[in-house]
Amino acid sequence: MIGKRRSVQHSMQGVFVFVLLGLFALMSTLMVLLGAQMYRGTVDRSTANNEDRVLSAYVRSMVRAEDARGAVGVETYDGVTALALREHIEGTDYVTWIYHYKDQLWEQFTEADYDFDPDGGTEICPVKSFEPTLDGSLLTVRMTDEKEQACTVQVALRCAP
Amino acid sequence: MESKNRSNVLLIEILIAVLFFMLSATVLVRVFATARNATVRAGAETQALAQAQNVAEALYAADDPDAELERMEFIKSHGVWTRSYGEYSLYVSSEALPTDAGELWQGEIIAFYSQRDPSAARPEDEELFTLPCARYKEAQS
Repeated sequence: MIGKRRSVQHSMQGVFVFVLLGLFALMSTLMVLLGAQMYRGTVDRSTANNEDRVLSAYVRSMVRAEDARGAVGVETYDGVTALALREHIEGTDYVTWIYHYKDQLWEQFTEADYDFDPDGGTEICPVKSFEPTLDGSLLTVRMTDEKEQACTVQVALRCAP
Repeated sequence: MESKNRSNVLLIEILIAVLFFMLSATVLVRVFATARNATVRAGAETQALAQAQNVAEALYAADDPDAELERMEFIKSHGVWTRSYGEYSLYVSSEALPTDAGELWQGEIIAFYSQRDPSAARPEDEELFTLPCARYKEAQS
């Protein structure tokens, strides 16, 4: 009788150890999964922040670099509205076009005499929309990135007439 | 007897391992929660900075800064213009200093982060940054 009771107690202890081990393994797995999910979320948010900053910083720095009297304008060719940044280098007029085309933000540097060809530029980054407007000396650019997040950049032109 | 002792030792070992795991898990959860809060705060700071820059540029281009702030849905209270954007708020204070040759308009845009974590050390809004802005307007002769 005593031997039988000891045997039951012993097997209960064994089961308890296995349950504890199982619980440990389950919690470890959950912890790893939870940690991975949280890490992914943190990285995603961080990437989104950087992308937001890159897009607005690009437009702001381009306009600031080319801000001269009458150099910044908004022009539309064949339904494509482009931000035109004009400059005069060694007797020749050049223009930098920044525009939205085929779900990308494009930049094209060309001589001012050439016709605007949207396919001739360089892709900068994916965007859904890019709408520049010039109201007096205030340039406003409304953009939507590939994740449909809207972003507005306003730049006051220091050299505006 | 020897088998029972071995089983007890194994049980104690597993209990210690579980305890260590629990402690590690607690530390890890806290680290991840802090990382998440830091990222959310960084996101709010990025958006606040972009918005503050836009406000500063719009004020620079405006003939009447007060009218421009009103147009941007800022509310004036105790001489300070404020607007809440959810995760952050912008406070704009300004003064116009008349000079012999014109008027110097000086402003300060302060961004505050709205704390949403009730366990945060400081439950009040936390200052993110201050963006000074100025504009000199020549007097029309």
